[in-house]
Amino acid sequence: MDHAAVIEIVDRDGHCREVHKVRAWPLRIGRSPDCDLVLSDPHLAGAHALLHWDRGEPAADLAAAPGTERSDGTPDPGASPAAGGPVLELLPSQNGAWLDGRRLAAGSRAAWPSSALLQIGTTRLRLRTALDALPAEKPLNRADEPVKRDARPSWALPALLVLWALMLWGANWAANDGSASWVDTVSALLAPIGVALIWAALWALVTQLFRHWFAFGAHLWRALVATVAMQLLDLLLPLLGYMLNAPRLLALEPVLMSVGAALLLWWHATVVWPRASRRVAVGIGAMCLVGLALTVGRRTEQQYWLGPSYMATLAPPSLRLVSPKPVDSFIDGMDKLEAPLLRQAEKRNEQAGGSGDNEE
Amino acid sequence: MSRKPLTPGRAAVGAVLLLLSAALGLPTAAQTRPAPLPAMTPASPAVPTQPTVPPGAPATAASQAISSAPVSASARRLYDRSRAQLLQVRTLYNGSQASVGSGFVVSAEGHVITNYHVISQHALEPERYQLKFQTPEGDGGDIELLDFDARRDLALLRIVAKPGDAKADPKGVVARMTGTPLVFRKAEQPLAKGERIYSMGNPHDVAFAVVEGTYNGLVERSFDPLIYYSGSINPGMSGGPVIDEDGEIVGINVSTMIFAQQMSFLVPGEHAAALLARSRNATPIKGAAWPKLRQQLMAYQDELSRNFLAQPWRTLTHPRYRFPIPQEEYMRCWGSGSSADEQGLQMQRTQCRMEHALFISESLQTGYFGVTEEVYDGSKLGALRFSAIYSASFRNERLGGPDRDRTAPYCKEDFVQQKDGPPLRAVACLRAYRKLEGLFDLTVLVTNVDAPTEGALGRFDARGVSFANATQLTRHYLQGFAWTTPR
Repeated sequence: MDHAAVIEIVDRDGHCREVHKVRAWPLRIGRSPDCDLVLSDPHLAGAHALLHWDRGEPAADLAAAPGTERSDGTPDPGASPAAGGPVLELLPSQNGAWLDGRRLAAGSRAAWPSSALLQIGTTRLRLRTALDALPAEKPLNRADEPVKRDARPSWALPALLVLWALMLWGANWAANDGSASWVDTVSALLAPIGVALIWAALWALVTQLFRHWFAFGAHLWRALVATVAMQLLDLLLPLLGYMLNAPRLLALEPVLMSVGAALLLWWHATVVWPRASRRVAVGIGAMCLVGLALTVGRRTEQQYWLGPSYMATLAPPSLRLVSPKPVDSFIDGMDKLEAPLLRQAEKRNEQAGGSGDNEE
Repeated sequence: MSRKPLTPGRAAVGAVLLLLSAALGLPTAAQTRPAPLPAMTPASPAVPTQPTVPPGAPATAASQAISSAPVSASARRLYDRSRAQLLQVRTLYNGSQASVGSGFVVSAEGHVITNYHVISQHALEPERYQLKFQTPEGDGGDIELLDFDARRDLALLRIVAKPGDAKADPKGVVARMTGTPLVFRKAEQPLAKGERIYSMGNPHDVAFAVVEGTYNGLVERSFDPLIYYSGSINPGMSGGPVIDEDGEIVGINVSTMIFAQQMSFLVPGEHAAALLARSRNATPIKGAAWPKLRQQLMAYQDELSRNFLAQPWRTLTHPRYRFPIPQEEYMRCWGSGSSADEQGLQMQRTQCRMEHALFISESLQTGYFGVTEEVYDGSKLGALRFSAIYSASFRNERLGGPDRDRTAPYCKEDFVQQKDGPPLRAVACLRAYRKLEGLFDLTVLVTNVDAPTEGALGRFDARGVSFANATQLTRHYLQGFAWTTPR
């Protein structure tokens, strides 16, 4: 037994499912229990194939044997076994086999290089021998390290959920005048939380599909962190704009929101496809850029490419840090609008407008 | 403004709406604003309910007859006398009528008066829309545009064929029409309220009609004089004459109040007489009329702005602030508010606007001002909640987007404060007109920002003003905000 080899049974993703060591040559493959490699595949004959270790006899000897045949019946020179190495011989069967997509009829012989995937019945096999160079050991991907259960303290997720619920309640409380019933308040609170739970569950399902891991907590954590961060930004930006009289700060809002949403998607995706995090990042980043470009493209006739026409925040007066200007200087500042407006007016626009009466 | 003709069903709905609005004291502009009456254009939403009265609908006609005054012999006599001068003004697009209105002959040379809005499609796109006339007898011919007065919604046309020109007018139709042109009633003989006057025209392209009604004086609180006529005029009668018992022209059919009964409006005859006198010998307008429109609108907005700026603001009673409310000389104000025992935010609103707008095209009406003040008291809410609700209300203001006629709004915003006045957040937004260069729509939004639980949101709108007037009006409006007691 001078030629060590293993046969790997490969699943549809190309991952090795099972390894079978070749203990003696030739190796008989089939459904029957007397075979050396027993495959419980109904599409196999009892003894379906025989794997030899060819010691490098002259090719002519092999050509005499019934080789793989082309449609015209001549032996396929490409299929002739090379000097030395594993050779597959198909025993009588109905289905034959495919070697890298090439049909092998029952009774034919073919060399089985390590790079080729053999399919017999519905089973896919790969051969690895001592002749093949063994690739160097790959460093472990961080995502493949065991999930650290204590990456964040166990109270972090519930605490964040409570914080978010409080923020939702606060926003809801501030936005109505006290006439809302408790039913409305509770539904306003539960609806977003429900959406977040469903969102995390869907991502967990996707993770289950690809990584056999129902990563609900990981996804919910990510969704909550992003939502709370964006909600805080949404609160603070207008406030800051009001305090400093910097309405243009609001232009950051759509940018930060789309970047935030893209980051969140990417963060979810790294759980599902940890090996492809860079490709996912490029894809989501490109989508985010296209989205922003479309937003800007739709607004080229507006005064600003991003953000509202005017800042509508009216915070409590004690927060205002800048002092008001005299009316005259405000009026003088309006003059700057005339030239860009007249330039805009020269453009054509086929958008049908209202009579102007419905705009109040 | 709605162009919807009043079919019986719709009239009933409208009446309900008006009653409702009267009960709530909440007028909406659409309900109270007079709607010009051009013809039914096939593109108008009226199509599904084309008001053509089918032959088998005598019930409707009978009920209408019962509601109107007893038939007098005058109507028949006056119609017989003036029918030769009546005509239908048709705007054709590819040979089919795009809109129809009415008109009448006022000179021996074939001058015809109608409304500007009847011929606006031709005036703005003469290469696509042709003008034709048709007499009650069904004869017709070409007619050309000499001049118009967009402010009064009048147009002066002239029949192309010369009277007595046997080649152009073999049947002598034009000669008959210009034989005894209608004359204007003298301005020094004013009508008294309640006098019978007779409106003529071709409603909905059905047939020429004479409608008997009452002169009710001028519309109050209107910048330009408009006669209030109690009589049913309908789309298609626009531009038709309204004559007195002597057959002299009192006014021209122009608009009607929607969701109201027999409330119609006429342009006083003297404006048409002035237009005829001014442009009797004008050469026909060639090309699109935008430059002329622009010139007329510029003059109008100048006069309106000057007049408005000269008026002092009235003041809304409030313990803390003074808010600018316009005089009701040519604006109509309506007040509303939350009930006194309201749990949360207390709000009172005063809404003033000019109810008469200038018709430019189907999609553009301009030349009016409006002021809205909403006063909020959030003492029951606390500063945080008040701030959230106050901001939401401020955010809610609509400024309009870019369209065929106007650009997107461009705004200037800042904190402002005038001497002896409260600090304000002011936003002044302008939209430029694309085809009327130098005219703008102005919207100024103003909020008080000095108190944690009370404030007011003011909005001033001026449509179709020059840039210089827009800044003047903004200044005027901002200066109207003050403390009730000087500090």
